[in-house]
Amino acid sequence: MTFHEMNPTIKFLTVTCLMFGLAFMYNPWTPLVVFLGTLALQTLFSAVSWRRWGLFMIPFLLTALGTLWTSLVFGKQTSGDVMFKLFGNDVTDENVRLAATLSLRVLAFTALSLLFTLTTDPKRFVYSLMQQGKLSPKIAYSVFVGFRFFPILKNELMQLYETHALRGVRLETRLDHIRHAPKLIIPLLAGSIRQAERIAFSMEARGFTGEPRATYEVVAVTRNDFLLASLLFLLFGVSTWVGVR
Amino acid sequence: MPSRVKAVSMVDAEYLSFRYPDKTSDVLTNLTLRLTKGRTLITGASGSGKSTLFCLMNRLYPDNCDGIVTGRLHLFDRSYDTYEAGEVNRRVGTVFQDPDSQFVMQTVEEELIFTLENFAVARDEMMDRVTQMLEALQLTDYRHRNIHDLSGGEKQQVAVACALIGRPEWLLLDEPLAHLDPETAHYFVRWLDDIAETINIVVIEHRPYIWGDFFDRQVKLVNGRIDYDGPFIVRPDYVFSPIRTERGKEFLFHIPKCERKTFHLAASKMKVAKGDLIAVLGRNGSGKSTWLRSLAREYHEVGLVPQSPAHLFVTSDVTHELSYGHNRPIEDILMRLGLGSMRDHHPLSLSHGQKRRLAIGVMMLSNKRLIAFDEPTAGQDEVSLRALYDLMAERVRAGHTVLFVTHDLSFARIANTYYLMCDGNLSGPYDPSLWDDPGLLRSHGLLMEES
Repeated sequence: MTFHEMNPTIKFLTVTCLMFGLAFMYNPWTPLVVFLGTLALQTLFSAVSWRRWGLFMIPFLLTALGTLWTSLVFGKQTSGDVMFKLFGNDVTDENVRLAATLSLRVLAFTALSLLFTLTTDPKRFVYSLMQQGKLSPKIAYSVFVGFRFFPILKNELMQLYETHALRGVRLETRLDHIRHAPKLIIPLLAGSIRQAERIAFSMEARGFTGEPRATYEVVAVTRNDFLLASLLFLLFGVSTWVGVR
Repeated sequence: MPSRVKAVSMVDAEYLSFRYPDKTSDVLTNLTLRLTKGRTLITGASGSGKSTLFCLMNRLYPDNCDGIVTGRLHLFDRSYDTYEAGEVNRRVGTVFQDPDSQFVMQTVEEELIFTLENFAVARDEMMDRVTQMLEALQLTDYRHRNIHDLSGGEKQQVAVACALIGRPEWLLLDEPLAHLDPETAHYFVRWLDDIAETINIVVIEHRPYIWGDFFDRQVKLVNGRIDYDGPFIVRPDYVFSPIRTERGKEFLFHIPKCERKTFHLAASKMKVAKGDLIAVLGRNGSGKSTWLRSLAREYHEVGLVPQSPAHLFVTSDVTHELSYGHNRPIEDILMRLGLGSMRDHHPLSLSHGQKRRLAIGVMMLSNKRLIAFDEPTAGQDEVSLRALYDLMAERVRAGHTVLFVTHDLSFARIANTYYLMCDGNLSGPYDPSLWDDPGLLRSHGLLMEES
């Protein structure tokens, strides 16, 4: 029983519900418990590389610290006991509570999103959305084609940059590249539209019409999916209880 | 009891005309054609309507372009408009020209399953069908390969597999060899000949010589009308005569080596003279294009015309394009290249030939000494090749050096100097006596065994 095997649609719904619920909790304890609990569940029921997790966490950790700092320093004057002084401002316990709530919320949101992204294979997610989420095959297969398109587009973009550099467009620094990007959009789009049309033709010629079709890759719903979902909801319940208490 | 089964014809057209909604004239005019069993070749120049006819056969048209059909068009003895979308495609498998834009999934196996899913094949039958198909086509080794990593020829074989796994009665191929080198193309034809004994085939091809005697019937379209319909006649490919010029001052290029993850291009030297017309030949993936880009990066006097000249354009109209980066007068060149009336058009709205001429103009105005074309012949018809020929002849006579990378052996005859590329190693120069050295040609994938 792992989060990797868990049905992606159910996982997605559960995580979304939890995030939605978190948005209504206005105390530091609930997000803290959710954050720690998510980490605990992730350790128990997944094989996520903590190095990758750490790397993804860096920007959000900075956001959380930034939130903490700004709400402490620039926080609205509130009544309450003054805890300490920061740059001549009185910081009340109310300020601290608010700052902690906001920054812990960032962390809890991130932990939940990472639990989902790092344990979900995008292809399986799309299959599952088609099977459990009743997503139309037309949209689902557009996503698959999109996956294949990325390397092709990247290739084309590199070629454009290279040819334009040969024509004497100044493309030495990264900034030059960014500044030149708008000029590449039209040729890139023109090429992509043509390619997209060809792929669409090829799909129809092979009998893809968006109508009901057979499925080979079955993404099942099992008892374990509900168990894992319940664990997450239980975590939310506990955290709410801790917060309201 | 006498059989009452009539031979079903796949296409039965009578006085068929077809027009695109935004055009004033017909692409196909009063076409009467009946395709019956066997192997049929459809030829014609660009714009002759052969691709339109092709799309009518597998019923991608008229639905996908809102085209206007008049006359009678029956597919398998039923009028085309009585079919649901995708219904004909169960009986007709299609392989398209561009190996890079006909796949949806990542691996060969998933791609085959995609077709089976569309045809609502029972799930427990799918794996067996995939195994059988790959075995029959001798493609079992590719089963779990990533399609993106396959070569052009392998991709086309996989495309055939994807078309055949639906068990169609007919197989349609739209210039399936256009992006393949001669050796690969030849191998593909022999392979198709072996595996497709029981299936009817229609091929669109404007250069049928590489197919040998594959066909039994030929239909030739000229301006949307049938010009010839009869038994297939083997004809040699177009002939291009060598362009002769005087050699001028020599200069030397050093092309540095280039390391990629999976590919290694050795350092090389090339001595060229004014008036040289150089062809660089070799298999697909032998490193010709990498070498060419290396050359253009290293030397500012080399002007590179990419395979799609559109990549070159950085402004939004022809005049600005020509005057980009310098302030020399452009009028003279604009006129000489026949682009005078297109001066305010967007470069991307030009035809392929016009784009190429604009690219040449850009090179001429930026004082490039050597104009280098990357695969200029891919997918071009005879008219377009003749235009390219004239353009190159004019340039070398005016004292430019012209170089092109190609695997088009007929067109390569126009050159007076040759370099060969094999696994990242450039050898040369060779003179035209190269064509009389079968050993050398074979080792570079340039010889087609007569079969």
